[in-house]
Amino acid sequence: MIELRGVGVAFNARAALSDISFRVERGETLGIIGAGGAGKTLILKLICGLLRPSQGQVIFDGQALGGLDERALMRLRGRMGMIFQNNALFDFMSVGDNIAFPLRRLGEVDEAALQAKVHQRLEEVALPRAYDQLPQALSGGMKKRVCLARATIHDPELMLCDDPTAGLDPVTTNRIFRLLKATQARNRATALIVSHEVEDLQEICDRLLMLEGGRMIFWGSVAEARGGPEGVREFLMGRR
Amino acid sequence: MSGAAWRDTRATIQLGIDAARASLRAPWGGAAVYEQMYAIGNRSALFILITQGFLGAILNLQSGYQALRVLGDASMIGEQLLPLLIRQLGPTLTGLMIATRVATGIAAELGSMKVTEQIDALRMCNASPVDFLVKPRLIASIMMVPVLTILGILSAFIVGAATVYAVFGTNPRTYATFDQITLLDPIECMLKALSYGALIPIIASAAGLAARGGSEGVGEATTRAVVSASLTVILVDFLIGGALFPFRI
Amino acid sequence: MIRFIDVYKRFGAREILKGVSLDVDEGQILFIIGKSGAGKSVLIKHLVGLLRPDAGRIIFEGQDITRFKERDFYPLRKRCGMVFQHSTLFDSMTLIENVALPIRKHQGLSQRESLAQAAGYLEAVGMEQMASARVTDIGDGLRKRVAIARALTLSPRYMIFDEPTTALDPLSALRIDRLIRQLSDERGVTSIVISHDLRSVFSVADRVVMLYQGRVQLDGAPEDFRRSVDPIIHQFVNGLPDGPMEL
Repeated sequence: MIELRGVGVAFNARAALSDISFRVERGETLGIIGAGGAGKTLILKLICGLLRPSQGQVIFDGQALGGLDERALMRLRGRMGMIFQNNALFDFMSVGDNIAFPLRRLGEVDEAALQAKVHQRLEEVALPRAYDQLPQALSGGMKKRVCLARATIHDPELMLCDDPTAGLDPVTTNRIFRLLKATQARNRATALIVSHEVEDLQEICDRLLMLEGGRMIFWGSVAEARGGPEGVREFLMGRR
Repeated sequence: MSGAAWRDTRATIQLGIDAARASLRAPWGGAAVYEQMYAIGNRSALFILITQGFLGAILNLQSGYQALRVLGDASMIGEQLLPLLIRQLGPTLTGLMIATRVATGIAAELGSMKVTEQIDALRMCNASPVDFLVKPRLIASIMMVPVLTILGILSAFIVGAATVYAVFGTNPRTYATFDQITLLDPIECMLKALSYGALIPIIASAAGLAARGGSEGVGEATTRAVVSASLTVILVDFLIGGALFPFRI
Repeated sequence: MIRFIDVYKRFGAREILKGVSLDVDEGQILFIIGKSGAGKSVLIKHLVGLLRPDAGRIIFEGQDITRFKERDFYPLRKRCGMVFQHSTLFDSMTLIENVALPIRKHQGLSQRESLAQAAGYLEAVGMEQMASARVTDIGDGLRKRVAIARALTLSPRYMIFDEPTTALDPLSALRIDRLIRQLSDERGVTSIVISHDLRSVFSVADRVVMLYQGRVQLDGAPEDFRRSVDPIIHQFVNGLPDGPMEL
């Protein structure tokens, strides 16, 4: 479903990512790990075309993104959903309008059906009464759930999750991961998850990708990672 | 010009072209445009009234004093100042005021949306930031800046007349002498106001959308917006004034 | 020793602290844990006078600081090194310059002397090799260590850490945990750590206070938390998605 071939990204002639190649099939879950500044977020932004590579190709469902203009990219993004590190909720819209926004933009005109869907999704993320609230009034965990609801309201085939539990307490963290898993299963979606929660990732991912200084230092199954090179093993064991 | 400044300028021009194209495409933006008209127009009106009123008072006081000293007569101030107010001081001082009030607002708003990834989120939701954010600001500003300019000129005129009456005893009817005004003056006025109205939101949006990093990035973007917008107002003032000059002689 | 005695604080209609009492003992590493929004940061801001309680008292080394004026807090704040959640280092300077700055400002030393001292503090956090690197060239984990070195320059008796391991990768987090332990063991610093990182709690804390709904849910050793049968504590400590905790 997604393929990167020899992808590199440079900012002001400084390489931020170099020679990244991997492939993820439909329905798989890929965990992306590595220290801060290793380029994890950049991978997600490349795949949805928010960032264009300096070298190499990004291929989504057989189409090379490089040849597409912004309009065509927009259409493809309609099949993806992204959970942002900072949530990126629109602060000038209510929670309900935030969640309804992708549907409206994708041309859903039946307002009643749309409202019903948003309310149902709010129930699922355990925020049944948040529809009219502004995002600023919510706690970190609540914002994250709204972000998840917005990212998946249009049942995307691909979910891109950028540190979806950053700054959340352990109870909320596990709730978010469980919610992610359930949403993904419903649509047999592919998921790419950037996270430092290495224990949760080992449980929910099929494969792991580890970056260091913009380079891939590991790509393989969770089992391979556990028995893998020193740096990866140490990282996964981290703090036990 | 340094590489970075050139890149910024090019990005601003590109944004201008994209936003102009977007503005000509339906739908025109309805509610979002009204919202921006309110934010740019109504919420700047009092500020423009006050600043232009004071400027009117100062200008008339100073030139009346000068006329009195040189000519021994201040009754001609209105006749002399009004054309200048209409084609030059009215639109340009209003433009500069809007460059501070509106450009900072737009740059700060879009800048904080950029650094909190809301701009990326829009793009993920099939909403182009140009269509969704820049276009309504551009349309609203093109409509409201001329209105604010007229408001500012009226304020400066009325306060000016009152000042001249209070200080020099000149009858407001004498003050309101429009003989020196030609058709070219209101044309120049509107040309300037429309240009400022179009350029200020584009420059401010470009600065906001280029913000990087955290809150410092937003601060830098805001500063850049107000500096570039003010410079542009002055430059455009010079260019339009110069271009129309041959028609005056 | 610092004592909070029955502290209340509300913001508008929201009651954040509803009678919190706790003692911070000398030389201890005290963790204040709880869900986001439980009032952990609010409580700590009272200690350095960034917030004032609505009711209750705060005693700092025998002095009642509840009614202190802003100016009275200055000497007190110097004795508390703060390490904030987000980097507050200056991007335009090298690491050692960042650490040397407060030394020069507070002790009026020359550039050369302050740099020599700063090198010592960088060594204390294991960063002496990177002294002349720029802030923008290093990751979050290393930045946090430099921030700790900078806080140490005032030779504080108390170190306050606001979520020191949040958003750090596991290895960086591990190093920060060890550093906090080391500061306490080698320098006798009293540390107050706001966190909800359970691995840190169980590897470095001497004592743990859990806040829940504005009150102290449990105050005890890490072992007490592991063994607790209180359903709220049990759910939090095990990170269970289901349980009695409100969302």
